[in-house]
Amino acid sequence: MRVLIASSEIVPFAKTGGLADVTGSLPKALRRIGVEADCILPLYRTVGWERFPLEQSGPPVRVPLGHREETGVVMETDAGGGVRGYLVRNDRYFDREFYYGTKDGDYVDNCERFAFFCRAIMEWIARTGRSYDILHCNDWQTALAPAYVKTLYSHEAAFRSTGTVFTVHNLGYQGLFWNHDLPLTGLGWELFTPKGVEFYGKLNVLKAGLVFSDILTTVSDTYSREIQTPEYGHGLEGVLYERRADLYGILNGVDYDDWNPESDPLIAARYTRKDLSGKKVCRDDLLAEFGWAGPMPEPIIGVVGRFTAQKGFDLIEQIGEWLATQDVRVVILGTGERKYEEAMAEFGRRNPDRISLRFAFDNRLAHKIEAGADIYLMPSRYEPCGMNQIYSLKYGTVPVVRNTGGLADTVVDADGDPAGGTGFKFNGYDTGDLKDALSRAVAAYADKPRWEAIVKRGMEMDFSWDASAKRYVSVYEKALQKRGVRI
Amino acid sequence: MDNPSDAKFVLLSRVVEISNSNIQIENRLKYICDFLARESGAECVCVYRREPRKEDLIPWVSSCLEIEECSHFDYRIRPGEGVAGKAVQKRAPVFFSDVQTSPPPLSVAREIRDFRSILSVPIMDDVYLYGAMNFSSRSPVTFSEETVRLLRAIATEVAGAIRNSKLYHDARKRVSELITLNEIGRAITSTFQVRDILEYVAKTTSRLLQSDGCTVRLAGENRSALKVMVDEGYERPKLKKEMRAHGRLLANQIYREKRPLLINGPEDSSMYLALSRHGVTSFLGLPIVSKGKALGVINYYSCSSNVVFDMEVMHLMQTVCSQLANMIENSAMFGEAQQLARENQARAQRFATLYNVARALMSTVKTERLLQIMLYALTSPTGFNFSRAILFLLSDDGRTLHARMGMGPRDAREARKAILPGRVLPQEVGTEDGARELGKRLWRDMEHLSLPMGNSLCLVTKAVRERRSVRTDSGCGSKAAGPSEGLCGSHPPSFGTVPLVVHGEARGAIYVDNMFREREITEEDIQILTMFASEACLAMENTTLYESLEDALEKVRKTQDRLVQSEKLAALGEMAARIAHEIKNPLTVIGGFAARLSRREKGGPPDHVPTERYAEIILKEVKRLERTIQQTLYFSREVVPAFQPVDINAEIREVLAMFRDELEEARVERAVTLSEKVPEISVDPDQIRQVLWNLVSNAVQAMGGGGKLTMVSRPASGGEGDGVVFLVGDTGGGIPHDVVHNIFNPFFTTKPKGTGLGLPIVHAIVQNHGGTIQLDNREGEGVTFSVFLPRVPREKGTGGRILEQMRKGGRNGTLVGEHSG
Repeated sequence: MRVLIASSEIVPFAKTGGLADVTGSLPKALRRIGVEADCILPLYRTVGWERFPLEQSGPPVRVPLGHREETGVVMETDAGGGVRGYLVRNDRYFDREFYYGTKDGDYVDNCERFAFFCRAIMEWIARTGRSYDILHCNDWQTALAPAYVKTLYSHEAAFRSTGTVFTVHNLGYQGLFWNHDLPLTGLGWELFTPKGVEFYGKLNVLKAGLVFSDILTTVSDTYSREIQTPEYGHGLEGVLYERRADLYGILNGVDYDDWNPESDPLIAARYTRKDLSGKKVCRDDLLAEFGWAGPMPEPIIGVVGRFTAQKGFDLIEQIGEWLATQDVRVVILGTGERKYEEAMAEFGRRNPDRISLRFAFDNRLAHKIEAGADIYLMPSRYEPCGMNQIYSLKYGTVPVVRNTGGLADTVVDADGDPAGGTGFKFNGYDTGDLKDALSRAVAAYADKPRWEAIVKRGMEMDFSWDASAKRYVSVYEKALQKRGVRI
Repeated sequence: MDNPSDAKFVLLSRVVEISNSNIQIENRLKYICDFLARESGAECVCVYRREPRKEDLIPWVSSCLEIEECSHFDYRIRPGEGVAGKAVQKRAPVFFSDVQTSPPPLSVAREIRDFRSILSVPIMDDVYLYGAMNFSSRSPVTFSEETVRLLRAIATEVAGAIRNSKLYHDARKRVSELITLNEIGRAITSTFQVRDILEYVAKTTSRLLQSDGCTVRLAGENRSALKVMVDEGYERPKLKKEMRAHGRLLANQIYREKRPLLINGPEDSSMYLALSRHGVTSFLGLPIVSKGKALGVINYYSCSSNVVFDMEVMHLMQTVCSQLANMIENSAMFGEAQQLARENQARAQRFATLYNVARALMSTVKTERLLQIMLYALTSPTGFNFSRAILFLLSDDGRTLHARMGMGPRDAREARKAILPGRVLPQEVGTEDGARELGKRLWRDMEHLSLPMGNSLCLVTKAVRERRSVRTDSGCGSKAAGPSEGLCGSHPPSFGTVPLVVHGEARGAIYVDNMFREREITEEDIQILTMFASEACLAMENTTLYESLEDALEKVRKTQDRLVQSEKLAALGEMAARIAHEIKNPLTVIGGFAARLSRREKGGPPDHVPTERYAEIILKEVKRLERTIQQTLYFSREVVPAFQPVDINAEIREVLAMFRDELEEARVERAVTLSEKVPEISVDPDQIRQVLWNLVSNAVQAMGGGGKLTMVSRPASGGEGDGVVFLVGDTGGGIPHDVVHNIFNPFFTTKPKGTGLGLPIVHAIVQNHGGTIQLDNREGEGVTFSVFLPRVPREKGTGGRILEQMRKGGRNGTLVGEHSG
């Protein structure tokens, strides 16, 4: 089976979030189980020519774009693990400082940029005589490709038996554009309906992927069910409900090569489940890193992530005053919306011995928090999968999470299941439930044997890519069956 | 920012940087608002946007709110109202340091909210005003002259950003529209299916224009009323299928005036209020006009304040409409051409059917069969495919129409069964199976039905009375027509009747209908039925004629047989007399000489009796008797010729040699011309010798006092056939014309000593050889017999009887023996 994974960001070439981790790890995991998987993404300015020797793959591809034609060049390089990485080059669109926009807003031509990217993939496959059994697209930036397979390219030999799989990593980003961007995509106005790509008068690019792909997946089982409801559906619950028979939840795998306390070079000391003494060193190191000294018996609560409402920062903002009164220390790392940054900064100023913050995106520090903290807080409003809670489990940092999406699927509540609990979960998205969960965690922390059991159970959990890759293969097969291909 | 001018520079350069970045204009404005709020100390910086039509100001982006939240503002500031309104009107900054102490003349509560100090700077460049920027604080603030100048500069920069964004979006919108227009154009020219295209255009354009509803109307055939063809959109609960009455009114106006109509306010049309009551904020209607002729109207409705149709959209849609108009015209033309082609095909089909039916009608001369075939032709799917057909014939007294025969299903179930696979008519009816099948379909009980001609309501009798076809779609209105459950009681409203007219005289009628089917009897059906009727009349006449001819012929044949019988008897009697006469003379001679010899034996005068001479005489007479008997026998038994190759010239020479003495004796000259090219022929040599012998002998006998015997042989030529012709001519004065017709009759003779069997035998032999014999009789001069013999003998013709008749009829001059195969 030949699989091409298309994404707007893929590790090691480009990354802003978890999407890049998934699309970077999945093809390698697939290769390990004998699936010929390659990946393709735009060639951004930041990819760095010196890091990757790029060779041109095939002649330049001519990409129709509305009334114009743009030219793209597909470059090829080794993505590691036997995976070929393809990068679509067009400097007009991708030679920019950022991938999607500045921190103040998205680029005005994002629809055009990613329509180009998708169409370039199609043209490149069709014109270079390649054939992939599966085209696996991710999020709105590549959502047009499955639509192209079914519409503009349905008669191309190269796509006649290509199955399309579309993974929603975060339904909150839908690629909404004004209706006049539709002709750019090459899709006809007949698709501009609520059943097609229209979304309240606007063009919703994500819907193209949801409507036209053979198989849909999200990154956790719970999230795949949640998004069929108005609360989590972001207005697309209807489409997703309609396609529920083809909708699967596959938990993201974790790359334990990068996130393993036994081998992590970024933390102060290595430790194992059997010997947790190193974690103590890491804890002291973390305290020092955040400007605190001396022995501190109270639990350290770590928070890493984008400062957005999705990640629950409005909740954190609301319990800020309460937290300051608790016998805990809070370390927060991340960047995001200014209002949360400002609110967090204010708490830090007012409670310097309770809350310490770093406004940065710092991988080293993230590792230190995962290793050094006692409790990892993730009160997300919604969480398609979430990675940090999985890292926390492996690092023996007990996660306190909201019972949603991937959080619900990876963490077992220690009060609900005393024998199997790995963390603490709360249901309602409100401060009361959150405070309760935190209080339970803090109370458990005081009970050292119980706490250690919870920690060790968490460290035992295995969310490696191998299991996830197998599940992806099974949905690939379903996609091929839908296309009438015998396996 | 120690140095104030440095600080200003930093501020301005940051604003320039933001306003020139490549992100959405709202994001840029938001960032600028946020930035200015921080830098200026104002608690809220808000950008108002000027509405393109009404000049009202509406909040666009604010530093206090998220972008999404701003779009929920539902208030507007009219020019001159409030602080921003004033600034916009004056095209200059307006500043209230404390609205509580010096309130603005016309305040807008929500603009002021709980702010006390407000500075509003118009956002404008040298030609256009885009909106205003408000800097508001909850506490009284004073802005220095310099700060206001700086903010004006910033507002100008913002104006540039807005202008660029507008241009950018306009350009993209234009491109989008052009691409769509191009697509519509391509679609329009790709098909002749008007409804498909109207649907496509309605769908595509209403989405392009973001209209909430679109209705396409086309004028009907007679160009009177507009008919709704497509309704697109109308998904808003309030906008129920375009408020039909208003939509029709507008459409009719546009159709009449052939001018587009744009309604965005009460000033545009008196209909605005009615429309706005249904939530419509903008209306665009366009006529579909081709060559000055309105074909239809498209109406677009918008219920959203964001979607306002303008002149640009109108022009765009006019292009679409004119393409549409051409397409509709072309389609109509194409439709007409197609219709014409269909009609022609149907016509050809009907004529083919008529031809087949005519052939079928000619396939029989039996009236009963003919009528069956007629009915079958009317009801068969391969024929005229009527459901039921009845044949009426007029009674002899002309008072009643009798149903002669009927065919067709009696009920719906049978009607379904009756649809049989089509076979070609003549084949079908020509076979035994066909005849049986036809018989099965007949209505036996129909034969009792009769219609009194006096019934003035009955359309069937009317057709006969007036001798013209009748068609109706509404029944005949006649109920009382006798025992007619099968017809008058129950025929469908649509039926047709065609009279059967022979020599201008009505003989009956054909009734057809399409009972149990949807189809009506059309005018065209009647046309073809009329043609069929004349064809059928012809066939019926033929049958009648043929049948009477058959009768006559039968009578002739019987008479003739009787005649032949009596003539034969007469001939026999005559022959017996002649034979008796023929035999009497030799017998008398033989008897006489035998008596003399006998007397000599008994002791008559001895020795001088020439015994030998007597014996010779007796022998000669006996031979003569033998010959007579032999010749007589020729007619009494069949002589089968033994064919072998013969050179006719050799035979002629031999016969001439045999007659040499007699010719010389009779002083007859010979004129012999034998062609060397005559082919060898296959004949019985003895019989041919006899022919030659008899002919020469006759000639010689005819020329008792001298003359000229002509003998010619030549190959047959041209129409004569392949073979030989020989002539035997004399100058013996010919045959009297009153007896010439008898010369081939047995025992007819003009010679005192002939048996009268010579020429009949010649004729019989020639005929048996498949040849012919002709007689050129020139009375007073002579006779020439001309014999044709085919190279290979042919079967004796079958027309013997006719020859006989001709012979009896006594044609003068030339007699022709039949030799056709």
